[in-house]
Amino acid sequence: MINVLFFLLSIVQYFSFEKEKDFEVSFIPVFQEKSLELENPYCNTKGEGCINIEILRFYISDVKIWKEDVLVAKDEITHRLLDMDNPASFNWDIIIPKRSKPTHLTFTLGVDSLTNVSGAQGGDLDPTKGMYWTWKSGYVNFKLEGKADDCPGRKNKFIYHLGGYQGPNAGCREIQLPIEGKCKAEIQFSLDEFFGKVPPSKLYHIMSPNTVSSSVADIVASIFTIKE
Amino acid sequence: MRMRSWIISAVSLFASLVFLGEISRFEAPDYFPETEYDFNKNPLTEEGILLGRALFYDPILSRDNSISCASCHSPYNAFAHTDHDLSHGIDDSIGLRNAPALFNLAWQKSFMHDGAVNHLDMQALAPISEPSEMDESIANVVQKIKGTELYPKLFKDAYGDDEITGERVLKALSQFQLTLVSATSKYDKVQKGEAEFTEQELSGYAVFKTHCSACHTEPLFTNNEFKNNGLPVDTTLNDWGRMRITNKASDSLLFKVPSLRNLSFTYPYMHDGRFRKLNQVIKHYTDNGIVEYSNISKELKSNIEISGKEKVDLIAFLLTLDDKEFVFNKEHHFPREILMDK
Ligand code: HEC
Ligand code: HEC
Repeated sequence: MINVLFFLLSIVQYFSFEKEKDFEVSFIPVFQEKSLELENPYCNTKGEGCINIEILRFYISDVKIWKEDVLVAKDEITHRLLDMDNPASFNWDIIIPKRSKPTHLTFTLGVDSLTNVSGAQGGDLDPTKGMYWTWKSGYVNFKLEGKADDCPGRKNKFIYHLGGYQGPNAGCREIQLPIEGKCKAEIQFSLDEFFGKVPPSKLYHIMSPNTVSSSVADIVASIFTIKE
Repeated sequence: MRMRSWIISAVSLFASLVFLGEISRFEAPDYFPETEYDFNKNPLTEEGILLGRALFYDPILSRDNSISCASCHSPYNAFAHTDHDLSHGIDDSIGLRNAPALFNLAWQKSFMHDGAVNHLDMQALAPISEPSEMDESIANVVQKIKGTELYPKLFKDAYGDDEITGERVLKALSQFQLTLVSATSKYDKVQKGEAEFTEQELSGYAVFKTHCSACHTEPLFTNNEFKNNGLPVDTTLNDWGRMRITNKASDSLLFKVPSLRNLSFTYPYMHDGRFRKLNQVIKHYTDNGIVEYSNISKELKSNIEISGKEKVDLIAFLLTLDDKEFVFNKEHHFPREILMDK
């Protein structure tokens, strides 16, 4: 008897109360067709040497879910630091209306300029997170560091720090991805593609906002894709 | 009746005490403009100010616990670094520039001689991480502070719980620095109708208004802009000023216009501390000292021609901007009561 009651209750609840559901968002850095691991040598089959990634850390801000041009939902946390040293930071849920059928998702790679000039902030924006330039104010939007055998930098190291919030070389990028018919967004970031376009043998040191860092930010923004 | 007025005054006393806790230490005269600093994001409290003051004077902020902010920003010099043209930091390393005086920071739009820093809160990150200054990282400072007996308690008093974060360290440092208001010089007393200029000072004031106030604008004595004031380049330093930040050729040799308050305490002068005396500065502006760069400020394009007497008068006026009450205000000095027995 009680069972039946519960069953009925849950049906009622399903139809009347549960107006929201979780929409899962995850970012998946991929290298050589697998999820990226730090400190793991990725060697080139053509014998051109190996790449080792030591740091991958970037800000994703203002994630929004849309149906055509109507905003369906937005992430309650505005600025998130995704850090390979903290894998949990790559997955989270956004609550959306139960029956909504989102068409696309937008987000910002990096930290917007207003936030950049608003003084000390906490959470993922706390300067102890190592994503703040100290000699000249501003957040680093994206950090990728490691070693590549064919990299001419000191100790074969490459360092890409992309950022800057002012003027033509500002580092923030708006990104839009289709999610039509999907119940979650698995967003891939292919390091093969990145190193194909930014080879550490040629470009290995980006530490301040300039035209080079700006074009690398364009490249980074172009390689986020939805997993099929 | 009596009883009632007693109650009223007790209540108002209590209310004013509560207010005191909030922002009594930040007072500015009514002829000062609106502040640039947004106090809503970091409301001043007695406890927050005290915490910031302790941090400011505590060498725990440097790698080997040898240098504090006050090592380069001395209270007796209106928080500048006298006697050194270029500031020096950890292991006696020499910096590129002269440590500026610190006061009236709430009205400042950007920080550093070239405006590299966009907000007072973020300023402290630069010296803490600079290898030639404190050579430490904010993450490590937070760790070190957590391990002390003193600080968790001070953070609890200031923030309600003893969590220590980079944000809280920086905001506390700002709280203390925001209380460094210089508004009690003779010039201010004249503005408030409490004193009068001498004839000589008045004459100097007139010279000042004609030739200097476009950049060193009253009452803060800076217009908060970056200008080229015609100093020849020191080729041992090759400091291009604002251009280092913006990469724009038109910003070559632009430096932030400094306030002219407290000059008796803040020598040597200019970004590299090249002048030790005020009359050397006046000489630069008046005796063909100005180099005619293409981006020289228009106010300085034609020579400033003033007589010997006017020069003396001008200096007399500038000295009315010395604010002894500010410099000798014990509330800004080393917090003996908490740092002594550490
Ligand atoms: C080694 C000496 C040194 C130490 C230590 C030091 N400073 Fe400074 N400070 C300087 C110099 C030099 C500048 C100017 C730098 C520039 O323009 O590039 C400066 C600039 C500043 C400014 C900007 C002022 C303005 O008018 O633009 C503030 C604020 C400041 N320091 C606060 C601090 C605080 C807070 C600390 C401690 C966390 C600190 N300083 C530690 C040397 C030092
Ligand atoms: C075009 C704008 C401009 C005008 C006009 C101007 N100054 Fe300056 N002044 C500056 C700038 C910019 C600096 C800082 C240069 C630097 O740091 O190298 C400065 C620095 C100073 C300093 C050094 C302050 C310090 O703490 O280092 C003094 C003193 C000074 N000016 C006095 C005067 C006097 C007196 C006059 C009028 C005769 C005057 N200035 C006119 C722009 C101006």
